[in-house]
Amino acid sequence: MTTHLIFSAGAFVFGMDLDTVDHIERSHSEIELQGKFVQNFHNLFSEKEQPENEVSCWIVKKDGNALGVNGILGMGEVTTYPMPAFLRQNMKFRAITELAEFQSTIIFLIKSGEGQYEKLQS
Amino acid sequence: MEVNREQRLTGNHFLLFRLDLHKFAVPFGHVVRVVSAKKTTPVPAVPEYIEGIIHSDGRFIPQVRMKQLLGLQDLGLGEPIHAMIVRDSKDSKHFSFLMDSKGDIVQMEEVDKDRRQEDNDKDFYSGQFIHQDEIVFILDIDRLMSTYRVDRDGS
Repeated sequence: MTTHLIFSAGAFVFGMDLDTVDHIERSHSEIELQGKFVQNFHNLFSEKEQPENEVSCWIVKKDGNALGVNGILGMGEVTTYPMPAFLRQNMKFRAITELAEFQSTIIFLIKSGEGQYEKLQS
Repeated sequence: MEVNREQRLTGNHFLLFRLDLHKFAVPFGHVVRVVSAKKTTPVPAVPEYIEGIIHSDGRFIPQVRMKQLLGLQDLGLGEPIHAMIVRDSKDSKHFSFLMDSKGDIVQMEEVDKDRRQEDNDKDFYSGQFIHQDEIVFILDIDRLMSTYRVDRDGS
């Protein structure tokens, strides 16, 4: 089991390996994000763009990239499950790699590799 | 309803179900189990025919909107209380779908397999037969599970 940072984006709950996270910044501190590559996480997986002012905080990863999310829900150890094959073949957002349960909620784990995330395939 | 692998019905056995006015059959070898309709968790970044994920018997299983997948108009005539979990021939993929009614298991010796049109990507039927004066379309589960793939690794 790995400790994950649990966050929300849109109507969904995601998890990210905590070891890849450097720190979290509140949304009004964008000035401190200068020089970092920032991405609104919701807009990576949804075709319907979310207004930037709905980002409540930024997850700054150790690789310097920052992800804008709607809320931080907590952190904790989660049991991971492989993505079902039929779901994987239909998944347009390649960053989602596994499923997990966190406090009885199914969450979507995103890959912890370095770099920016690729927007969903249309 | 659990399918006992030792006693699995084979050959021309089918599980019948209804979606609105249409009657369908799934070859029994593809049926994993029939369960009560469960709450689904929506999934981001998937086509609309995927309703979400259900948790059944320790596994996460995608649930599809079968009418949408088959290109049928949703008349809203049914009130599904059961879902069928099916698998492909290799037992590598599973999905579930809601049924408007759960029907019988039937054995059909005569099946018209000319129904399929090989050049039509969206023809998900492998044949048809007549049961109780109604046309029953046989779902091609392997074809349903292999269409629309967006993955690159081909698993």
